[in-house]
Parts: sequence; C-alpha cells; structure tokens
Amino acid sequence: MQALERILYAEDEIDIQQVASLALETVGGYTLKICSSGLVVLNEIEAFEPQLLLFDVMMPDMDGPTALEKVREMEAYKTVPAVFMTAKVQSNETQRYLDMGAVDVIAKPFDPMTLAAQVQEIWERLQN
Amino acid sequence: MTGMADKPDNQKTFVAFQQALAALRDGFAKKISSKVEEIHQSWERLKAAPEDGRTFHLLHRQAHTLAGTAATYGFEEVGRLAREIELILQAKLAEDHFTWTKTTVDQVDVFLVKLKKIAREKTFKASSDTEASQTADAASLMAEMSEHIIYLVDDDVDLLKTTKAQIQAFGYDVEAFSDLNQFDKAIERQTPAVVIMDVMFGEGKKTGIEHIADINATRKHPLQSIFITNKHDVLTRLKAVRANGLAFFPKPVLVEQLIDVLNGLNNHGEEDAYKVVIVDDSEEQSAFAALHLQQAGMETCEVNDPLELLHTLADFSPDIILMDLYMPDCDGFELSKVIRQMDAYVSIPIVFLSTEQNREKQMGAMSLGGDDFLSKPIEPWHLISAVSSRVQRGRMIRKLAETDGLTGLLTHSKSKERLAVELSRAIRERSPLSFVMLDIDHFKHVNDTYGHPAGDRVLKSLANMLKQRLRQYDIIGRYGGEEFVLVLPNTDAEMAKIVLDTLRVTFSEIGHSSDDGPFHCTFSCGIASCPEFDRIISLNHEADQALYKAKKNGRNQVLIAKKTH
Repeated sequence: MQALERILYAEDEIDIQQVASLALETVGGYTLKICSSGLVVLNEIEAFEPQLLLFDVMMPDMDGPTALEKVREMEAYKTVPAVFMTAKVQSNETQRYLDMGAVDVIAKPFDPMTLAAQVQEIWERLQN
Repeated sequence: MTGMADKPDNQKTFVAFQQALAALRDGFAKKISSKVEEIHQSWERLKAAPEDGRTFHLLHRQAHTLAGTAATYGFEEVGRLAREIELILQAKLAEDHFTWTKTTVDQVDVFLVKLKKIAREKTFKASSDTEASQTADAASLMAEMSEHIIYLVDDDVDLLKTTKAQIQAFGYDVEAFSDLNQFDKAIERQTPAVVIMDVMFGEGKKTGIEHIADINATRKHPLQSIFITNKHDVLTRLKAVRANGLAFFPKPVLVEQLIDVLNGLNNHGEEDAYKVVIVDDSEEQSAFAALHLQQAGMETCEVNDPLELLHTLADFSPDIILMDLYMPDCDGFELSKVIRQMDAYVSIPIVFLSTEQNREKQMGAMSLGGDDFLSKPIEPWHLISAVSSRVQRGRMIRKLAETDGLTGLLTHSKSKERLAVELSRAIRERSPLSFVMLDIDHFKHVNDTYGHPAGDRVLKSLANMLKQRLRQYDIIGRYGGEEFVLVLPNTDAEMAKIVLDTLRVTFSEIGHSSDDGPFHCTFSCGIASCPEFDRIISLNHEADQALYKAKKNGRNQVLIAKKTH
C-alpha cells in the first residue's frame, strides 16, 4: 500500500489553517501545502504533486467545488482523490459532493485530535 | 501498515501538540471580540442599505467563518450563535429578493447582543489568563514547581514502593501516596511538576481520572498528569485527555516510558528563537519583514548591502536566509550560489522574495540552491508561516542528523566535534576537562538472554539517567553499540570519578524490565583529563585504555588514565 505523504489543503480562514496544519503535520506527520483559495490551488498543484486534495467548500475567489472541476481538467489530476470539508451536512448534501467527484466529506467543525486519523482512514479505504 | 503508524506519534509529540493547540486557542479567543465587532458593523450597514448585495455577502461570509472557526476551537456557544445568524442569511439567500421582516431583523439583533456579551467574556478571560497570569502567577508557579517533585498515586503499596525507587534513580524527587485524602492534602501544600495516577483507584466508583478532573476544576492551572490503567478503551482514554492528561499507559507500565515523558516535559520550552537573515537592498522592505517576524518572536538581522552577507552569516549564524532576488551589485541568484559553495552553509534554507511572476525564472532560482519562492507583496502571516515551517523542519533535520535515533544522544561524529570545541576552550581558559568512555558490562549477554528490545531499553535508561543527572553543558554521546562518551568541562579527573562512581552505583540499582522479570546491569568507565592530556587523539586513546583496564579488573568500576612519563 502506498503511504499518504503530500496533502494539498485549501482553506481561506487562517485560524482554521493553523489548527488543521497542527493536526495534519504534527499529529499525522503529513506534508501539507496550504492554499488560501481555489485559484491558489491551480497555481500550486503541479509543483506540489499532491496525493490527496482536501478542500474547504466555501472560499472566496473560487470555491472548493469549482476548484475541483478545474483540477479535473488537468490531465495529471483527473483521478487524484478529493475530500471536501464543510459545515454539518445533511446526507443528500453529502451525496451532492460525492457526485461532484469527491471521495468523502469531512464535517466541520472537525476535531483537531482526530482529523489526521480521519484522513488516514479515508486514504486506507481508497487503497483497498 | 504504513502511514500514521510510522509517523511521529509518540508522547512528546502529543504533549507538544496539546501545548500548541492551547496556544492557538488562546490566540483565537483574544480575537473573538473583534470578529464579532466586524459582524456587527456589516449588519448595521446592511440595515441601512438592505439592497446592498455586497454587504449581504460579506456578512454571510463573516458569520459563516466565525461559526466554523469558533466551533473548531471549542467555543461552542460562540459558534452556535454565529451559525444562527448564518442560517437566517442563508434562508434569505434562497428567496428571490431580499425582504427583511421586523421579526428576522429582531432575531439577528438578539443573536448579536448575545454574541457580543459572550465574546467579551471569552476575550477578557483569554487575555487575563495569558497575560496577567503569565507574569504574576507564572512566577509563583515556577517557584512552586522548581523542585520538580512528582506525586505518585497508587493503591497497590508494593508497586508504589518499587516504582518510586525506580523513578528516583533517574534523579527525580518522588512522593508516593496510597491514599487519596493524603494526596489531596499534599496538593494543597505544594503543586507537583507531574502527578502519576493509577486510574482504577480504590473500590469506590470514582476513578483516578475523575478525581484529577475534579481537582482541576477548582484550579487555575490544571495538574499535569500521567495516567496508568489496566483499562485502555477509547472512553477511558478520552476521559484522560479531558482531565488534561499528558500521557496514558496501560499496565504494566515500563518505568522507561514514564521517564521519557518526564524528560520531555523538562526539556520543553527551551528552544531558542528562530534566527532570520533578511537580505534586501531596500531598507524599507527588509524592515517590514523584520518587524513582522520579530512580532512572531523571531530574531532578525537585516542586510542591505548584499556583499556584507558573508560576514553576517558567520556572526549571526541564522536558521534561514530570506533574500530579495533583484539587487544591485550582486543579485539573489549569484548570492545563493556563493552561499551554497561554502561547506558550512550547504543546508541552510534560502527563500527568495520577489515580484517575479515568471515561472521559469522562479524555477531557475530554485535550481541555484534556493528552497522556495515567495511573491511580493506578501501577507505578514504567510511570511511568518513560510519562514517558521522551514526553520522548524531545518532544525528537526539537523537534530536527527546529529543525534542517535534510539537514545537521543549525540552521534559519534557530533560528539567528536563537540569535544574539539570544548577542548580548545579548556586549553584557552586553562580550565580542566574530563573525557569519559563508558561501556555497559556484558551487554551481549543482556541481548542474548533478554532479547534486543530489553537491551534497547537498557541503553535508553542509561541515556535518560545521564541526561537527567549530568549538567546542562556536559556533552553526552553514543559512540555506537553499548559504548558512550561524556565530555565534562570544568571537571578534573578526580571530580569526574566521584560523579561517575555515583552514577555507576545508581545505574546498577535500576531494575530493567524483561519478559522474565527485572534484571540489573552495570557499566565500566575510563577517564582521561586535560591538562594531563591535551589532544583529542590522546584523550581518546587514554580513556579507551583505562576502560580496557577497568574491564580487565573485573568491570563495574571507574578508572583514571595516568600520565606515565
């Protein structure tokens, strides 16, 4: 099984960025590239070569779903798994995100203690 | 299993994580009031101009963001109120045209009033917690904790006795309690550095975790606690976390594990400030970066003439270089090439700052030895996070390269390097210095009889004991296998022998754990000192010879190398 190392993480709110990077880098040991909007994602993705995308849904400039759509237009990133993060969602809403091509949805607010484990679980599920 | 399992998830990381999280949470709490104020202003503007779509969207975003961040940081009530406002706006958004009824306006007003009230409380509490208490009561806290006393609580009296003795062997003061009432009285008298608590205390329904949680509820600073238990389900672990537990061990607990956590606590918070050199021909630009980095607690040094950089590097020894790409005389490309040609700076991170948008040129800068490229203008927080993450990583890599993975002691080559520095200082200052070679007796036998994991624990125990018992400026290295070296500045051979003999006796009394029950180990030492021997090669050789003699004489002893002529 391939180990998850590089996560591209898009989130506009600095306070959330900080706590998520603490959770994913310190606890999870992943390498994180933080992008503050969908536009930044498009600029950074090629240099970083992420194995997993973690996108906040609501961001200024370009939101998560639009960013994913654009990323999917790039040949190399047609299949890289994407996970959306969004405020408490109903099941039909989750389905909507899955239809957009996300592999999972993580509910906000997330628990900093277990965020890394949640991401790892998704990754391992995908590997099987 | 790959992934998380081989990532750094040990106890120290956990402690560091908790502290970092608490710091972030504090920082956020201080901002809640101003965030609520922003929402209030947007709301007043929207009330004045209900048709203003931009204000509407701004307000929606602000409420959404606060709802999300507050909840993430555990300020549930703030999050809930902001969420209520967001939901009202969302409902409006779904309608075709914005119409505000008096009821909905009143609703938002009420939520805002509540939000402001609670925000004031949280912000006030956070500021007083961190500022006032950090100055006034931190002093008393430090005084109280300076003795580093450890309270050990367990109802099993025999276990209590042996554990106490074992922890004491590592140089900690331990007070043991088999009775919760006595423990409570002791807490009132003096705050221990750490409480080690058996979770399943007594026959009553109250567990050790709950007892600590109750005590913490009445205290300003929670007790630092380590929990030991024979239950390790998630629920118990969760309770432990909520009671501010630093670590959690299933029974039977290995004393080595406890010591690892205790040592981690002691060493925390001693990290030096990050040192950043800023190279920019514009004084204004470098001052801007310096100001923000300083506010984040870093030390900075501005260089406005690129040709001065090399002097600065030697004097300031920075963790990272921030460099403008375009400068007169010598540009960033050339300068980074020069830096990379010097052995001492091969691995120092270099980050270019520039308005350069051309991707090809950016890549060119990287291949010349730059590590990253930040575009100007840059947000202060982005600058700070870009710099600190690189420094952090750089320091960690350096530490990994210089220390032995098992024991955390210096490697062979690093110990030699440090010996060279200390020896030349001793000669210059005409002060004594002792060099010690230390070898665990019959270590092969330990590995063969008790297995390699037990052998590794012996090595770690010895390392931990040396770290705890020797002085801050003594140098401790692992030469490889079961061989260790010590460099003791300002210490002559006689003094070194007294110190090592004490350590030798203590070490021989430590019970090491194995599947076949506890066992004991001893070590032998050879000491060579300056000024008797004043070259690295002779110190090494003579200490080695003395160690050889100590082994031949029957081991478990310390011998001094004497000058023969």
